[in-house]
Amino acid sequence: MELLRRLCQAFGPSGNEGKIREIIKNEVKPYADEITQDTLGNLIVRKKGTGKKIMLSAHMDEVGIIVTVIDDKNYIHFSNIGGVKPETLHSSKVEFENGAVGVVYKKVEKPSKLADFYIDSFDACKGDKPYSVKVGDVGVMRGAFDVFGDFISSKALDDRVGCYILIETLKQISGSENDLYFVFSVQEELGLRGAKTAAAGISPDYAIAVDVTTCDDFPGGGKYPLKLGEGPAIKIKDNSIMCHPIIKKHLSDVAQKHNIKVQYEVLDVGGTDAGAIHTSGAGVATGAISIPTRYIHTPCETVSISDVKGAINLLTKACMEVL
Amino acid sequence: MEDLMKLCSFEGISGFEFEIGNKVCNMLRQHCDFVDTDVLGNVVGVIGKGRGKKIMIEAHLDEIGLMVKNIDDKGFISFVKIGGINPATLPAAEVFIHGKEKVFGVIGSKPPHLQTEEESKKNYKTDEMYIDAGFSREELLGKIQIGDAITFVSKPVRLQNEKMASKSIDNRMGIWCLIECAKRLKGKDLPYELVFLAAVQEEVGLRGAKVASYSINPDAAIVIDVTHGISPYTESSSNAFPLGCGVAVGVGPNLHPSLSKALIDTAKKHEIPHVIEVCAGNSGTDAWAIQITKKGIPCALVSVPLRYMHTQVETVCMSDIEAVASTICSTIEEGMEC
Repeated sequence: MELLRRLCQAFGPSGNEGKIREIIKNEVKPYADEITQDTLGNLIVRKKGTGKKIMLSAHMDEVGIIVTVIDDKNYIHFSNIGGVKPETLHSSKVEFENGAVGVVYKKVEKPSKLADFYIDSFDACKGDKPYSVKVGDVGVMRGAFDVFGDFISSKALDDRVGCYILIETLKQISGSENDLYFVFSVQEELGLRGAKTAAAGISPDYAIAVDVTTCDDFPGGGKYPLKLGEGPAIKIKDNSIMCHPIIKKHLSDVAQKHNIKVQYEVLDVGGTDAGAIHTSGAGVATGAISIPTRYIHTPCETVSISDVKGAINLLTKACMEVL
Repeated sequence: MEDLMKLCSFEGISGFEFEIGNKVCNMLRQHCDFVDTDVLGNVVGVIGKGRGKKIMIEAHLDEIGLMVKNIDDKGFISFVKIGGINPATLPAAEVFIHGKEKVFGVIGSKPPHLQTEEESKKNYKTDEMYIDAGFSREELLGKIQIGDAITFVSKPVRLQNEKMASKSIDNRMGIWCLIECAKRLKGKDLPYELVFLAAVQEEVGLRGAKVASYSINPDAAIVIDVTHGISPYTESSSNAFPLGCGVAVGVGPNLHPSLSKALIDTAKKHEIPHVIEVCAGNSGTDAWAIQITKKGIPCALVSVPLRYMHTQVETVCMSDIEAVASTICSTIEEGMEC
C-alpha cells in the first residue's frame, strides 16, 4: 500500500495534477509501450495490442480550495475547487503546494457555506516568507493515510485509489490482445473535463472508468445498499451515464468466472469519467467499476483493502479477455 | 390511433432501448432504403443517400421509468427514477420489472391512516415507496437483480374527441411522426438525403442525439417532441397550448430562424393549424444537444401539446399529431434552404 499512500498524500487539486502525474509516470515506465501527455494534462499510458481499443480511466485530481481574498489581517478567504462540503471543513487543516499549512475555522456560530469560514495560515501571507500564500493559490485538505486491518482512511482516495488500481492492473497484464489505454485524467471534479478530451483523442471502442462511489453503510446512512468490504461495485447507472449492456455483462461474467465478489451500483446522484467518455464522438460502449467509499470529499475518505484488491483482479481479468 | 397505441405499449426506458429499437428498426425498414443502429442503440433510417443536402428528422425513442435499487429482506423492492418523474404520481402505480423474467408489481407506500400529521401534509418521497410483487426476497433473487429496468404497465385508452391517454406518448408520438414522414416521403423525388433518427437516452440528458448527430452530421435537423397542453392550473404558463391547436413550431435561440419560418410559412400556406412556441433558452429537447454538435447544426422544433407530462396518463389529441407530420412533409416537399 506504499504506492497508494504516496498517491493519496501527494498534492493535486483539479487543474494542478502535475505531482500526481510524475509519480504515476515513474511507476508505469517499465510496463508501458508508450506514454503521452495531452494538452490538458491527461497522462495516457498505452499497452499495445492488435485487438479492440479499450480505454481505462481514473482521475488524478482531488477536490480543494482556492484563495480569493487575503484580508488586511492576513486571514485567507477562499472558494471551492470541486464539491467541497462546508460542514466538514471546520477545524480541519489545508495545505498549499509550497508546503504552507492553514487552519480552517468558522466566522459564525452555525456555518453552512464556504463564506462562513476563513483560513488562518499563520502569517504565511505576509510578503516575502519562503512559504508565502497568494491570491489564486490552490490548497487541498490534509488527511493522513491510516491503515487499520482491512480499512484505509486518507484524503484523496477519490480517485487516487482508481489511479492505483489502474497502475496495478497494468503491472499484472500480459499477453492481452486488447489495445489498452490507461488514462489518468485531469479535472474530473470540475465536470469530467479531462476524460472528455482524452476520449476524443483516443476514440476507443470500449471504456471502463474506475472511481469511488458513495457507501453509506454507517449510522444515519442506508440510502444505498453498497457495503464496505463486500467487493468492488459494477456500475449500472449514475447521473452521468446509463452503463452499456456490453460492459455490464462483461464485468459481471468475468467476476462470476473468476469467483470475484462484486456488488451492483445504482446511484441517482453524481457522475464519473464514464459519463464524458460514452457520449464522445459517435458514442463509446462504456461502464465503470466503483470502489465503495465512506465519507467522500472529506479528509477521511475510507475504503476497504479487499475491495481494492478485488477491483484490481476484476479489471485485470476484464482487460485480458476479448470483448 | 391504433398505431400510436401500439408504439406506446412498447417498453424502453433510457439506456434500455435495444428491444424497442429493433421493433422501430423493422417499422422504418418498410419505408427507408436502409436502417442501421449505433453503439448506444440509436436507430437511423436513410432515404436517398447522397441525393443532396442532408435533412435529419429526429424523435427520441426512450421513455421515463424506474430502476431497481435494492431488494430488502422481506422482498420489498426500492427504486430510483430514470428521467424526470414527480414522485407524487407514483403511489398505486402498476409496473413491470424487466429481469430474467418480467415481474409484475404494484407501488406501495405507508397508508394515510398510519401517517403522522406531519407526514400527511407532504407527498411521498421516492425513498419512501417500494414495489411489492408478492414474492419473498429469495424468490425474487432468481428473477430480478439490482439495476433491472422498470416500466409502467401500459394501458393506452381512447378519450372523447380524438384524444388518447397513455404512458410514453412522450415521445412515441414523435416516433409515430418519424415513421409517418418516412412513409409519405419515400417515393418523392426530392433533392435531399433524408435521415430519420430515433434517438436513445433523451430523458437522462440528450445523450443519444448527441452522438448520433455527430456521426450523421446533417445540414439541418427537425426535432419532434412534446410541449405542454393546457389543463386546469396551467393557464399562467405561456408555454402551454390547448389540445387541438395543431402543431407548435418552436422559435428562439436554440432554433434556426429560417427553418422555423419555413415551417410556419408552410403551415400557413397549407392551412395546417399551428401555434408558435417561444423557447427563450434551452428548448428542453434533443435540439439543444444537436445544435452545437460538430461545427453546428441548424435545428427546427415541432411539438405536440400534451397534458400531464411524465405521468402514466399523458394525453394528446390525434389531429395535432397529424398536423406535425403534415407540416414536416409539406415543408420538405416545398423545399428548404439549408
